[in-house]
Amino acid sequence: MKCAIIYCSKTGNTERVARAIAHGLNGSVKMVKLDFTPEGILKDFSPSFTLDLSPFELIFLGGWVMVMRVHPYLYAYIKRCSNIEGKKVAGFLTGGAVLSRDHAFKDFKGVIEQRGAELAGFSYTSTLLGLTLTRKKLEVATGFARDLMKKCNR
Amino acid sequence: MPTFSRRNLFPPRLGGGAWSKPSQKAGIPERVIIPFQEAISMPCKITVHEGDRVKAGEKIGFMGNGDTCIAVHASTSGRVDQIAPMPHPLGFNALSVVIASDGKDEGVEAKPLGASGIGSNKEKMFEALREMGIPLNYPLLAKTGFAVSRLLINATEFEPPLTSGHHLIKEHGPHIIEGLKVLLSACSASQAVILIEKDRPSLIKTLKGFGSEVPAITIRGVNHPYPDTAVGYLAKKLFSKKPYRITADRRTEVMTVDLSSLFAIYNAWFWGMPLTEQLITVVGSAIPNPQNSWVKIGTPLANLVQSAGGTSSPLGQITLGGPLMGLPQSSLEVPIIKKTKGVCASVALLFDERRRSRFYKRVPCIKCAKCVDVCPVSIIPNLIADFIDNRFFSDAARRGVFLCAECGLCEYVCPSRIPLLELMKLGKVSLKGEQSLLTQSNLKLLS
Repeated sequence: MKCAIIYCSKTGNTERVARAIAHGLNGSVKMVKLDFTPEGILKDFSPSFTLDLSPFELIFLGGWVMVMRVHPYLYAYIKRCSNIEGKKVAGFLTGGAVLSRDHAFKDFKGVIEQRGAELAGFSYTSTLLGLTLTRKKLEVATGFARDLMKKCNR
Repeated sequence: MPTFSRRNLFPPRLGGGAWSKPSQKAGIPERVIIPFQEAISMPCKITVHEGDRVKAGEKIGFMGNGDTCIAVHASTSGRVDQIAPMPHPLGFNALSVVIASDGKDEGVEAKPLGASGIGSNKEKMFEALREMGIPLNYPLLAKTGFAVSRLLINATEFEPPLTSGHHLIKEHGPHIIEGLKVLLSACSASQAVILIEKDRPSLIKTLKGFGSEVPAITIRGVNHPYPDTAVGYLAKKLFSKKPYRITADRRTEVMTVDLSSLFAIYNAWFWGMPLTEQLITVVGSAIPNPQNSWVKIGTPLANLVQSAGGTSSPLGQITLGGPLMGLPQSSLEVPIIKKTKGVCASVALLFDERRRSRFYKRVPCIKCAKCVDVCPVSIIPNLIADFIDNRFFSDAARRGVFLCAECGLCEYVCPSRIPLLELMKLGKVSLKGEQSLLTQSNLKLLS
């Protein structure tokens, strides 16, 4: 199964979670980091960036929760990418407060359904500026990816 | 705070993915646009007319006058289609010759300069190099009577994804050294210093292997890459006895030379070929197959993007040069000029206005000093920018605003999103008293 992980990270917490998820998928995955300048130009130079999601069957979208909503970078990507319709999409969001989980889930689900994709799974990791991002939480994220892979393969 | 402890300051090196592949030969474009002006109202003379047939490497005119005069050659064979003002990479419409290619790429008869017996006469040697269209610092050579005491070659790659200079050393290392020997004998320089990053041991080995016969050639490893605009500062630091003296030291005349110019000198001297091709890197997030390729001078950018597998639909910005110091271009019809090292095409996404927050706007400086850490010329960008913002221009000059090499690293690392590079440029323009579109009020609108 071909998978892609598309995430945005500022201080590195979401990046750690994304790596844990890639570990759960046995590493055979394309990882794209979204980092933009204020004008909206991608800062990364690597050729791994893609807007076309047609080769992938399972897509992980991740980012940090900002003001209880999906991060603007991730939102802009979901709005702009092509061939996401009908694909299985899983979300992994990170945030400082546990309370913002339900709000973020609602927002993420709304955005995904707007594009006509199927929400296959959702995970939320609470981090307090990296202080509470423990190894146990990363193992949970790895398990989440592994279970989802098994479910989709069935 | 995590923002302070995790200092990932420099952009990732070799992030472009073009390093591992060997360089290729690009196809012949349908038409090439050869500009004859490097600045607005620069004098030039075109010796061909519309409808003439030209061969690759044929001289079709010259640009500049006096000391800056340099010959211009047709880069491919074909018919002269048009002589008209066309867009130039520097942002104005320059008088250009458009050649419709016939696809054969027939060359003119080559006459190697080395065989013509001009090796003893310096003036004739440089006249011949000028005729071959090789860009060197001719005004400095004329001023010093063709006797420059030192040569400085910056072989470091400042722009993170570009690798064309390193590829040139990897594939043509001995040829570059041969070209350097010719130049050393021509301008009777006592020393030539090649600067290269310490983390490229294979390239240092290549250069040292071929350059060890000549005692005048020194290969020096540096920790960080330097931009081409900072070589003046470097020359002062390397060669001047009093590097911190403000006035220029007249006794040491240092000429900086490009790697591509050295390779062009080799080609002209031993094979009689004028400068019509350039090794450039095509990279960026909008390019699926990044590569180094030998491109005819005058090839439009659209051909390059197409040959590297890119399309124009997700393209947000295309710069001539790297992403940090490159010049953003307004259209894909702009041609490649001499000294171009690479093309960077980036993807851009439109943010939703309602979801933008104050995180992505300019906020006051938090004095984290990341810009001070990355600055290649060791000035204090945040302090100078603060002076310029408050219109204390003389203080900015005292703190060394004119040392700024405009490399753009400070703006890249700034967590407060302060337009440091624009402020530096504004300070320079205001201190010189020049007219510019960049003003204090325009800058407020931008940020």
